[in-house]
Amino acid sequence: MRLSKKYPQPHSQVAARVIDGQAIIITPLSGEIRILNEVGTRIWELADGRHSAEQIVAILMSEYAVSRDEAERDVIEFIEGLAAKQILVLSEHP
Amino acid sequence: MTGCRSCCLSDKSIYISIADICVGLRVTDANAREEIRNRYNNFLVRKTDARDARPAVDIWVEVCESVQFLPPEKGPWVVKTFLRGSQLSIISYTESGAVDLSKRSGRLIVARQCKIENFLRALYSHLCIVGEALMFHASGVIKDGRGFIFCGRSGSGKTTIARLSTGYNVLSDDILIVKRAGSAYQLCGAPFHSDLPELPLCYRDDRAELCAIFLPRKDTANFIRLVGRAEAVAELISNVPFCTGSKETSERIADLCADLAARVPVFKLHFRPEKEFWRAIDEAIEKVSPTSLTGGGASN
Repeated sequence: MRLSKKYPQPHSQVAARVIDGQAIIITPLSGEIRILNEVGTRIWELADGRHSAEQIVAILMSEYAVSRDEAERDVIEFIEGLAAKQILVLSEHP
Repeated sequence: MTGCRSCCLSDKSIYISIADICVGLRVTDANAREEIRNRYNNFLVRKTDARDARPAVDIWVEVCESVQFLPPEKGPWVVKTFLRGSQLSIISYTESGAVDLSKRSGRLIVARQCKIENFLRALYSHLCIVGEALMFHASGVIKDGRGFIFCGRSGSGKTTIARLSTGYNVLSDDILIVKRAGSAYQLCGAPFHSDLPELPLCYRDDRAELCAIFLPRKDTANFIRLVGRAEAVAELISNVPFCTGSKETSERIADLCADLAARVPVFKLHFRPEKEFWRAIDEAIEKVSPTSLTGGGASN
């Protein structure tokens, strides 16, 4: 996957808080608010600009009983979806 | 501080206090001054009290003929707010205001025969989050000494609930303020409401400890569900008006909402538009124990 080498991190203008294990993401300019489930919240926490997508997949596999295919699909969908909405930005380097 | 109309008539300054947040208005136009005094009658404070309380901001209000600050748009009334650093701009069709929150002063230009209501609503929403308070799109009722708010956008049932609450102390059907008071929250009356004449609004600066928050939806049966904290916080954030636009403000609102949701139960309320829904509320409140509210704030 091409995305696997990228380092996702939150857009500088996105606000977020984790409440009882669920991330709440606020996009101030649009006013949109999202709540992430447990796995989404874990990916969000790992999308800190220091972990590549590939590394996030590996961590998810170690923490949850999921196959590489499942983990890759979840991570790619998550990152692509939030990057398209400019909630996450992707870097070539950590 | 107590509301007092007559004491404010001697000069061009008007002091309004909502949820103990005082705003000074210097209004040179006599007609506009009188209209503001009438509209916010129960929220006016004595000049001396205002000095003691130190107004959060002093606003110079100027009335101009035939001005329009935004092009006409279809749909609901538009109020645009921008916050850059401490510079707050609030613009509607008939109001244009600029406030320096750090210097505690500002200027508002308003079209003649138009209200300053939108400016005040947006200003107070920002002033609230500077302190330990939040403004919500909500109707509010004090029943048996306990405060209840019903948060939701247009069409959710706020006004219907206000209509169905005759006999109780209805504070507003549109905008309310809740304020941290020790380990609890206080529901505070605000003079911001729709202009429907049949509503049983008390329109006073009344207070009560906030007992519960409801997220209403009109339905064919009464049904109440306690919501988890994350969902509650997200719902509360979405009902704070005028304050989106910056990351810092959004984070501040999220932290305040997280604290509120840790201290006051938040319920989804599906209700049949009949007064009987209050019985369902009473039953739901009885079932909530303090331990069902897990403490602690938000984490980054």
